Formats: sequence, C-alpha cells, structure tokens
Amino acid sequence: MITVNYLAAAALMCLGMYTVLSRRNLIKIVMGLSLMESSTYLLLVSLAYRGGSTAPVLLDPPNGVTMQQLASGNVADPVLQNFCLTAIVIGVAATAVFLAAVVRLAQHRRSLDSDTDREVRG
Amino acid sequence: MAGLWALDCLVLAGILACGVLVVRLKNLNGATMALSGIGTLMTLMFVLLGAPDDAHAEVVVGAITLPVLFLLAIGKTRTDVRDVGDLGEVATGLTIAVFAVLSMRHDWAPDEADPVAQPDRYQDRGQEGQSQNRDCPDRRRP
Repeated sequence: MITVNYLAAAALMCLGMYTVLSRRNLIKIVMGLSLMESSTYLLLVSLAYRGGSTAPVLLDPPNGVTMQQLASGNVADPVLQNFCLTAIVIGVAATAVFLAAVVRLAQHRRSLDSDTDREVRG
Repeated sequence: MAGLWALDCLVLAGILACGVLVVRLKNLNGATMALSGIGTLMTLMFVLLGAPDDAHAEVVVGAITLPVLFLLAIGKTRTDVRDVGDLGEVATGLTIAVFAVLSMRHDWAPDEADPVAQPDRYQDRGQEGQSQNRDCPDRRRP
C-alpha cells in the first residue's frame, strides 16, 4: 500500500518539473521548485514508514515488547525522518534565496517574464 | 488499518489536486494558497506516517512561512521602485562607505555629546550629511 505514496511523490515531482519547464512567470518557477521539494519530503517519510509502525518517540517499550523487537520493525525509521527534517529546513532557506533573486530581477527589469530577461538566458 | 490507508489515499489525492491547482491557476495569490494547502495536507500525511517532528517543522514552514515568503515576494514585485543604476549595488556601496567614514570621524565620548555645549559640531555633521546626499541624488525623496 505504501507504493501509492511513492507514485504520488513521483507525480508531484513531475508536476513541479512541468511547472519549471513550461511556465514563464519567475514566481511560478519558484513554486515549481517548492513542489519538487515537497515530493522529496513525501518520498523520504514514506521510505521511513514500516507496516503498522508508530512514531519513533519512546520512553519505554510498550507492554510485552522488548527493545530488540522495537528496533526490528515496530517504529518508523528515525534516520530517514531526520533526512526529511534537514531537507525541510534547507528547502525554506533555498526558496527564500530564489525569491530574493526574483524580486531583485523583477524590480530591475520591471517584468516577471523569464522570456524577456535576456541576461539570465542560458 | 484499512481506515488509515483510506485516509492516506484521501490526503494523497488532496496533495495532487493542490499541486495541479498550483500549476494551473493564473492568479499568483491563489497559487500561493494552493501551495499552503499542500503544506497543510503534507503535515497530515506526516502524522499518518508516524513522523510528528517532521509534521511540526512542516506546519511551521510549509503551511505558514513559505506562503508568507511568496506573498511578500509577489507584493514586492508589484511595487514601483526607483531604478538606480545597475541593480543599485554601486549606490548602496557608496552610501555604506560614506556612513562608515562619518561614523569613524565621529567621536563617541559621552561628555562631548551635548548639543548645547558644542552646537557647531552638530552643525558640521548636518553639512556632511547634505554632502553625502550628492552622491546618490533623489534616493531619500519620494
């Protein structure tokens, strides 16, 4: 069943890439990059999930469960969740930098259209 | 367990619908709100998948901070600013340099800082302030 999450993450990544490639509004392009970041979060947390697992927040093992059994599959994988946390924090900083560049460019060129910005063409 | 997967599929459908809205909407503010909806639904998905710490970070960042950043950027691109040279970096650098020179020349001793005791000193600073305005004209005028 978790495959649905993987497929949704792939679809979200494709949506973001389509936005980046097809739209000419610079803010829309940054929104597409945000969509691609969101798909990464979804993929990482879905990878961390194991069937019937709970959150990896443990004071004591539940009744009748040893620590060994816990480590082998009753909680979600905290390592991948921490990757996701790092990606969230870096993602918002990167988006802020993109938006600052877009605002500066738009105030200078008086246009948000990437097609008229000859200087930023590849 | 079946209820959890039903909710999972529901939230995924909502996320994809919001993603399509982000792509299709012409209105930038509306697209920003759809992005905020993605953040909110992603929070719910993280709670379902057993990641409450990620849900906490995502509800702060994805549902609040990111839309605020986008709305600020949209607002700032619509304001009309005065164009000063090539991206304005030269004028800004000149202003910073003038302020640095002024603050180095100023003596910060507390007993001399009385405008009644030394009125001529403050007059001098006023003239210097006017002279540094000459470097970048009209920057302080509306």
